[in-house]
Amino acid sequence: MKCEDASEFVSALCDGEGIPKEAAEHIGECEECRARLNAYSAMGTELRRVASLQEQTEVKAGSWEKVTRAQPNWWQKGSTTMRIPRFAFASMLGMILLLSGGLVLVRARTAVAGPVFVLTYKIPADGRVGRCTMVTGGNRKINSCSDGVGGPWGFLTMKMRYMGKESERVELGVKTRYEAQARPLGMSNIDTLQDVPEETVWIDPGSKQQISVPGFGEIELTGEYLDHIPTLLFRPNEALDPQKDEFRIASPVLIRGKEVVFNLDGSSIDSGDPEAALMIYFPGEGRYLISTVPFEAAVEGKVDLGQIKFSLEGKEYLLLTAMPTTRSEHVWVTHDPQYKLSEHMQGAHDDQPMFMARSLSKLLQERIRHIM
Amino acid sequence: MPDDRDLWERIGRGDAFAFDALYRAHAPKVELFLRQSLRSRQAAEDVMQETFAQIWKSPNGFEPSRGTLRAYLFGAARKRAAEWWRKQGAARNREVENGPAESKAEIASLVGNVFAHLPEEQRTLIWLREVEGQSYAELAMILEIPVGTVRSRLFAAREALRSVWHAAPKAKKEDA
Repeated sequence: MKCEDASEFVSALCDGEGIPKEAAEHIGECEECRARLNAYSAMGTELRRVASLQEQTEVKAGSWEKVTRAQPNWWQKGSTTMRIPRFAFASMLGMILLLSGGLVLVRARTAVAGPVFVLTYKIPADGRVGRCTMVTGGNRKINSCSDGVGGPWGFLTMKMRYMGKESERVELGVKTRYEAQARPLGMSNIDTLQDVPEETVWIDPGSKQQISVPGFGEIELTGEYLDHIPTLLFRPNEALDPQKDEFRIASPVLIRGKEVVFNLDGSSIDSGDPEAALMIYFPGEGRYLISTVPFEAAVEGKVDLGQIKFSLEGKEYLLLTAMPTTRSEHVWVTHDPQYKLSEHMQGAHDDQPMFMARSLSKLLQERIRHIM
Repeated sequence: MPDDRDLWERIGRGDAFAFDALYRAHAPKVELFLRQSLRSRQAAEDVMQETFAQIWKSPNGFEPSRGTLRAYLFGAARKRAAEWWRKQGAARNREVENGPAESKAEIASLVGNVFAHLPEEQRTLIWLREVEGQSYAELAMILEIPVGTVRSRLFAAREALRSVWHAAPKAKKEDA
């Protein structure tokens, strides 16, 4: 160690502070450092001697009780005990105000015309609530939705289409059809609306609107704007974590080895089902069935949030999804390359990809219903 | 003498006797410290009185968990002294160059004279360490700087004092 490195430790040593071994050794052997130590010591001694010579103030008992004492308020108390610099505190306050102001803006943004409109419809017959997400910016893929609801009371088919907006009011084209008797369900349900005239409905965000369905009654509609396209179009307020007994999938991509088998849009979800499963059909690939419970001829796969890994026919597969699929850590998978969708689902086409989350037992049936 | 926490609690409750005990114990040392810092006996007395009066009026700045009451008092006095210097403005510069006569008369020794030539911050640091015996932790609290910085600044202050001290005899001859 050199003197210039040790000199600061000479000062510390003078104050009775501990110093590194290297510095202590150097100071012990170095004339210059010892001279410095002696000088520091002598200066301190001399200063204390001089201070002792100085006349000390005679203090008398003060009449402190006569001095008016301030009653500090919480702000004064806080500012005097503040442990961070005042400037930092002021900056922090400013930042909080700025951010909270931003939150207000974000909240407000959902109430004003945004790029996405979420329509909520309530079916009075069974209290069911459905949601439809529509992009208002001209994206035709996500500007309409359809739904079919059945029960002891009959069957209701609906289709809602975004047409335009005026200020914040949204113009929708709505088709509905009610059938009083029970009937088998399938994709052709939507087709039954072809001949139904489209009714124009104006929705004010935050206000309720009723539409009348002949023979059925009123359906309540409400709507609100969102500033983004939700991952699950039918459940815009859904949390990222899957619920118990739930299988969900959004924008799946299947990779086999280094090859991308398919890359699809859309989402599907099956809730409250202890045997929730997923079916994916892709032209030329046939059908993949992925279940949270074991089933015949299925191989076991591993789940890691939005990834499902499995091996089939000697090849490694990786199914990637835009969100966690299930709480289960394992799934069971089969692949049927000969599967023809049109043979199992009414109205389906073999040249169109399709995926859906449903109960395993329903997906294993010979005839699969699209709406259940 | 009660411990800092008890004493402070009593002062907080408006116990004038407790505060008087605090004043008697520390006011002389605080005033001495201010004398070397402000280099004016009258100013030191005024600032010391202001410091204690302010603490009595609003006893809410001390937290026993952060340090000793003595360190808090010196810290409060140092802040008042800094405020006093700010108010002095141009007068300060003049005094630093020439040195006020009364301090020269009072600090009648070689080291005392060279000490008076150090910048105010270095004088404060050395005084509190050498004369008041404040620990590094107390100095850190008083000066509101990290302990590591206390060590390096103390070294710088001592080196400054040593270099002026070594040069002092020559300067004294030139003055004569």
